Amino acid sequence: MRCRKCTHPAVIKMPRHNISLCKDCFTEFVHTQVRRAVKSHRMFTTDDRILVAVSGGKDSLTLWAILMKLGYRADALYVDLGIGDYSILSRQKVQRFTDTVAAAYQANLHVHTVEQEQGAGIRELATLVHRPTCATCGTMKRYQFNRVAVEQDYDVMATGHNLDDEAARLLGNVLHWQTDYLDKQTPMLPASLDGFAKKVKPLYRLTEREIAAYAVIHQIDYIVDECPMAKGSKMLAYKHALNRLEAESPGTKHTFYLTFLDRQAKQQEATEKIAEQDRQRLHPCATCGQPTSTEICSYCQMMAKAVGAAQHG
Amino acid sequence: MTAASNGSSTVHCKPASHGLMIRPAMKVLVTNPHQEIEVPGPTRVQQLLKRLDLTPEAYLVIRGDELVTDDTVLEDSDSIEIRSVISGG
Ligand code: SF4
Ligand SMILES: [Zn+2]
Ligand SMILES: [Zn+2]
Ligand SMILES: [Zn+2]
Repeated sequence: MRCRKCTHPAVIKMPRHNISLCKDCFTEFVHTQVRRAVKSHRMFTTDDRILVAVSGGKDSLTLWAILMKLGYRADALYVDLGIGDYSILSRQKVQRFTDTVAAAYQANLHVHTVEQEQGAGIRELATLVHRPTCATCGTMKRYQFNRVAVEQDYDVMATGHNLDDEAARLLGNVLHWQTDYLDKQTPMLPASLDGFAKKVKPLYRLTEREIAAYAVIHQIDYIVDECPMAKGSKMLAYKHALNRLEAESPGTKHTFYLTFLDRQAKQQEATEKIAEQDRQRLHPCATCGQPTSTEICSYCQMMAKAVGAAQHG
Repeated sequence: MTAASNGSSTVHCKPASHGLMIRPAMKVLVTNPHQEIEVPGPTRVQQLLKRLDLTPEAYLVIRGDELVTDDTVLEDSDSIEIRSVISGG
């Protein structure tokens, strides 16, 4: 198979665009998709300092690599969750990437170790507060990510969410008619109040397969194994369902999510509406000062519960 | 285009052995869940995925350390990785 744009051998066929591309043309395709995402949602400029949330997986490391390559000022944050071998291995991957790739761009890595800072790994914390591990993990990561962004003066935080993630989440939200969540499912959430940093998802136009292909082509050494807690997640079920539909009619995921975004944009500036609502609802947490809609933020509530449980247990 | 891809070619996941003659086969590593299998070549990438009942959209096929497209013919001497690209987060 030959590249559609030049005569070199193709390395990937993308049925949704009805095109096969060689290494160089595919790389250009990926960069173009990221540039389009950044421009069309006014995510950031080359003046902004970006904080990328990295997990050691393909999406986040690839995002960091692309942003640096495109000339953006991007540092990263890794949250060590203390989940056995998975955390040890993923942390190694992130560290190696930092030393071998990011260092050349003078980019920095921040590491937050949950076991060290909060006194227990994420699974132990979840047990203490009687919540599912992934929910506890979500609260922890969101909190630490925002804290570092605000404390260290980053203009924007970026995550590696891709088209499959967003389409699967949209499917889940639609199946349960979670309209509140639908409003928030945009690739760019503006900063709200002083305490919440702006959030962006520059990879939302690319599928997981395209991102993994980019990682393989550019020798980005990521952790292929999944977090053991992800087993049996709803998201996986939605993704498999969507991929089966995608096989039948290529472009399904793209149309599903991007049409949703178009409609949302037309439904007048949804993001402004959210920012306005947040501004009305949020105030500083009584304990830590980060923005929250309750008196004490969910992170502080969770940690107080964990400390209490640890003392009585 | 090899002569081997005519009509009735069947891919067995275990190589058939005829007496002492053991056919060579390509080594295939599948990730998530981790699995190592042997498949006799030659076979096209497309055909290999179909035989293993894997959705092309959820996998990349890597020969050595190069990506290959679905029309690529894989040989017995090839070392293949079928890498899952779906994450659960
Ligand atoms: S699978 Fe759950 S515990 Fe593991 S990283 Fe994702 S959210 Fe956290
Ligand atoms: Zn080309
Ligand atoms: Zn080329
Ligand atoms: Zn708080």
